[in-house]
Amino acid sequence: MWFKPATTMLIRQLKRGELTIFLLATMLAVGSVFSLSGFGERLNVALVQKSSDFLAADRILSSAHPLPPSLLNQAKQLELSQASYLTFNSVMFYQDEMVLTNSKAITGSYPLRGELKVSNQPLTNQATDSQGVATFGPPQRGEVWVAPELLIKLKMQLGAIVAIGEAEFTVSGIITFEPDASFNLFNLAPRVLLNFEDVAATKIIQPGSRLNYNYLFSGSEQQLQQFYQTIKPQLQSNQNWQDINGERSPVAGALERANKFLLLASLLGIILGATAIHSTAYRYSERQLDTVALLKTFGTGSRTIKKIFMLQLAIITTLGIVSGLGAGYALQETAFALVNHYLPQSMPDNLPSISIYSILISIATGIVCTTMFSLSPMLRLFNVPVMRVIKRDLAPSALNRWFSGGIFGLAIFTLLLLYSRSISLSLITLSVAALVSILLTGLAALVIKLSSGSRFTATSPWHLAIASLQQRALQSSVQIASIATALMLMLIILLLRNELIDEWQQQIPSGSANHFLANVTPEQVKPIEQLMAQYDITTSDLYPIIRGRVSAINDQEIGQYDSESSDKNTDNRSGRQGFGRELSLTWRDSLPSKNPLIEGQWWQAQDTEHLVSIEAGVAKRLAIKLNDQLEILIGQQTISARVTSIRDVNWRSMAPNFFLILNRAALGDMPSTYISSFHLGQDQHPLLTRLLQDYPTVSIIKVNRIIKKLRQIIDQVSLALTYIMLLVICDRTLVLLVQVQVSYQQRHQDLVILRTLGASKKLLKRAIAIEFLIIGALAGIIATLTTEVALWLIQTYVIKMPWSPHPLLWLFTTLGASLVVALVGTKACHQLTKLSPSELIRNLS
Amino acid sequence: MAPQKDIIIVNNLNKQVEVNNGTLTILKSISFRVKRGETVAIVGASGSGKSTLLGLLAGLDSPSSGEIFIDNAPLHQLDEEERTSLRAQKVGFIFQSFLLLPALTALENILLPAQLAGLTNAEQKATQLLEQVGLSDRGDHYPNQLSGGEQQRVAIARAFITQPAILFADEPTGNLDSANGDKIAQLMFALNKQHQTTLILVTHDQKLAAHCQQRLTMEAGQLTSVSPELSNVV
Repeated sequence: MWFKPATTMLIRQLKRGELTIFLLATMLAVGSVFSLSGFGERLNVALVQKSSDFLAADRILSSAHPLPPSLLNQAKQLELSQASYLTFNSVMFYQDEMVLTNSKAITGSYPLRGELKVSNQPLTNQATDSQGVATFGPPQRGEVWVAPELLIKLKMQLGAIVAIGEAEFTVSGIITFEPDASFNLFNLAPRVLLNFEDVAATKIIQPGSRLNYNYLFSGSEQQLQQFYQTIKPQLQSNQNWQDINGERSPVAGALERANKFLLLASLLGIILGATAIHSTAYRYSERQLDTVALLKTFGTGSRTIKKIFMLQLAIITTLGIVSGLGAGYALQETAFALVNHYLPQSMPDNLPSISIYSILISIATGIVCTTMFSLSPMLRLFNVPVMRVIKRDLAPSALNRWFSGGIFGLAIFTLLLLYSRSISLSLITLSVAALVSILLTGLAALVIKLSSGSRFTATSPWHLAIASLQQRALQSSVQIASIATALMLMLIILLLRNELIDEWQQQIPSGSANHFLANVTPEQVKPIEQLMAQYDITTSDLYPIIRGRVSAINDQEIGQYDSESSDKNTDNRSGRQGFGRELSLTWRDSLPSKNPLIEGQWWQAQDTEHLVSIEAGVAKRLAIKLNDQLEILIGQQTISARVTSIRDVNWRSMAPNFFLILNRAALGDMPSTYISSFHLGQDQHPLLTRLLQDYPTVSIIKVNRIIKKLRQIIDQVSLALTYIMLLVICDRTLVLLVQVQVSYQQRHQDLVILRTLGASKKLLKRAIAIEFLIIGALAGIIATLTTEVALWLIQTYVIKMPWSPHPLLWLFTTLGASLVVALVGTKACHQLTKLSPSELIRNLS
Repeated sequence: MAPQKDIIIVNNLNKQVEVNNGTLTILKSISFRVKRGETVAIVGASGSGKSTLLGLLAGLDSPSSGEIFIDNAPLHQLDEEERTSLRAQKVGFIFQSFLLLPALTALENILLPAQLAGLTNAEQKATQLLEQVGLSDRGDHYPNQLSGGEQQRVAIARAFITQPAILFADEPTGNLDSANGDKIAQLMFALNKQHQTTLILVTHDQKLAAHCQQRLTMEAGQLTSVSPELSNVV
């Protein structure tokens, strides 16, 4: 018997638009969570897949020894795709010439990700990586594929018969692109690819040979995780499990930051969406006070009344969730279509499908939002005194503030936890949000209070506006704080996006070095520079390279330090390798860029003492402090140098990086080779051939293709961030609208009184516009202030990038906010100012 | 046990409320009786306690002390849910501010209490009542499309649909001009007679009060006179 009136009332309210904002807020909360989580998850999978090209697989297990077949069988059982390669250094002979090469003996369908391009035709003057065809799997037995520079260095053609160890091979292809080519500037030997089955015949592998077995796996994330969990207990200290995120590449950095940004944007979006729902739920319940009082008067029991409103809430929730999922899906697909439209080649063909998780979390968001945020307003609604039907000013007693605050906090915490799956992150976000809202409300209240004191004149719209603000001091400060929060979050997302994109672009600016030169002798420096000048190419800083080994720290043998460490962290492992054997040293007068000093001071060029600067990770692992004395063995000579500084090194920058840099006094007189980098344009490729022909001992490392791919990925992530920003702006605009509408009812009463007392429409319109201008301006100023503080905190502690102030933001935000709020506010009250006093009175009653 | 012919019996009724600095007495030692089918006007100045008394009689609020019997049921002993149930069975209301639900049409507003009470033939009764109040062509109009007088006629029809034993009216003509007020009064008394309902109304309007068989005058929370006869006072 209650069902029909309940649904009739709901349908009518929906038709009359009374529930539109409530429904819209729910829809937007669900829609934004669905599109953000879905888009984020799918984009991440797509990008990781794409980035996996840099590994030639999703995961690599590298080992100094072959893996037991039982372990590989487990991968087979899990239906993972597999391939492997063995790398070792060997000398290649051709007629009277010989060159040290880095051989890669491959099995299976290497590469599992990305493409290996091989040309069986002599190369033209075009860019190397534009030639050749995509190839999978190893060369035929008895054949090898070689890097182009080997043909030049050994003065041979395709089809030449070369020797590696005791075996002979026919050169059947030229490697034009290798997906997982090393970034290592110090591993300079040119690449040779051969079939793994041929390795035994070369008889190169002897006990004590330095070998690196790499096992490649690809499959779904779930399969890979399952495999890793199975093999984890069996892994030895010299075996290492790698994925793209563990790699020291700019891609890993971009992905990591984009993910953090996405998470942050979503969390802030959830909080704002929640406040919008809370405000609309409160407004909805306020409008239902008479209905509940009337139903009680009719003799409707409290259980029936609860049923009626619970049914209505359930229907609104369902509608909000369904429409939110629909809108979220459409947004996701549009975003992907946009990304694909701009970057047709860049996304993997098989886009990952929408995950059940993102659907479930979106539904949960809708349910938690509408039920928990409506709980306090609903409980208050059910408590409405039935005497309200006679004594119209009777309102339900307010619920305990701690109770309603607790429910609100708990609801937001539940949502944050659902989304971030991290208790600490949820607690931090919740505490910061609570603190910010209390501070903002206090700040706004203070500003309103300070504005009082001027004498009131009813004919001045300014006085009317200020009087109106003061009359609703608490409501006005909450309104200003809410608008300021919405603005602040919008600004944070907007500025953070720009900062992130700028930083990524700066990491690989256009025209940045795409080739490296290494093994340049001091005598070759000048002629090479002259040759470069002929082609209008300028080279970067030259770094002298001297091979050396740290043998002791403060007179203690290095071995003792080395053996203490057993962790498998990538950074540490690299450090240990460096210290376990020879590493590349350099000397410089000045501190290299992107190498900030953490401790100590950089030396003067004229210092005569032997001094060394050490990378922070290694310093920490080997417990090296300032003023420690390092003994370094270079050839037969040992030098001793004092540690004067500890540097942070950005291993993700595409520039030569060193664990140890010494001063001129220590290494200036040592024989050295040089490395340098330069940018080679599309039409400058003949230079490479000239260089290789004239200076066969010089090594050239090409990173242009990798840089191009990095740029594509960064462009994709930037687009994604732009999309998220637009979504967030929609969300915030709705919150703004809700906030302006909240004061509608009371404003109505004021207008009735003022109009009845003879205030002109013009005066009232102006007063309303001024009031909203003041609200907008105050919100703008407070938002800018808090944005600057929040950005400084986020950039310094969360995303870890430099922060700088935004002076123009103060002007634009304040102006923009006051105009937009005034426009939205006057538009919302337009209807009220248009009516005659009698119409106003009738509407009010 | 109260005699059957009295539908309302009030004995020594008091109502106090807690305010910031002590207790405020709103009603003091009120006693009277109302016969079944009688029309009673409660009159008095603003703040004299008329509306509070109406609220107590209708079971919208509970007294601080004293007794109220509605159709033999001891209202003063009932909890809120029991009072609600009693209202559903025996009581109808007309308000000064009409209190129609803005989202429902005139017909739906009339139907609402009947649907909630699970009455059969509700729609037929609602249409009939709509006709009786002269608004048969306005059934699908929303409250904001009706004049004040029309809205109050809908409210009257809504009050009668559950065929209550007692009808409480709080300033039913208070928001209307005199012409509309007269029409509403006529309609209310006519329907009251037709449905044999006991009518208790609170009003400032002496003309309206004059239509009633009994008049209770309130002054500062006390019943100062009962006219035309004193025999009903215990």
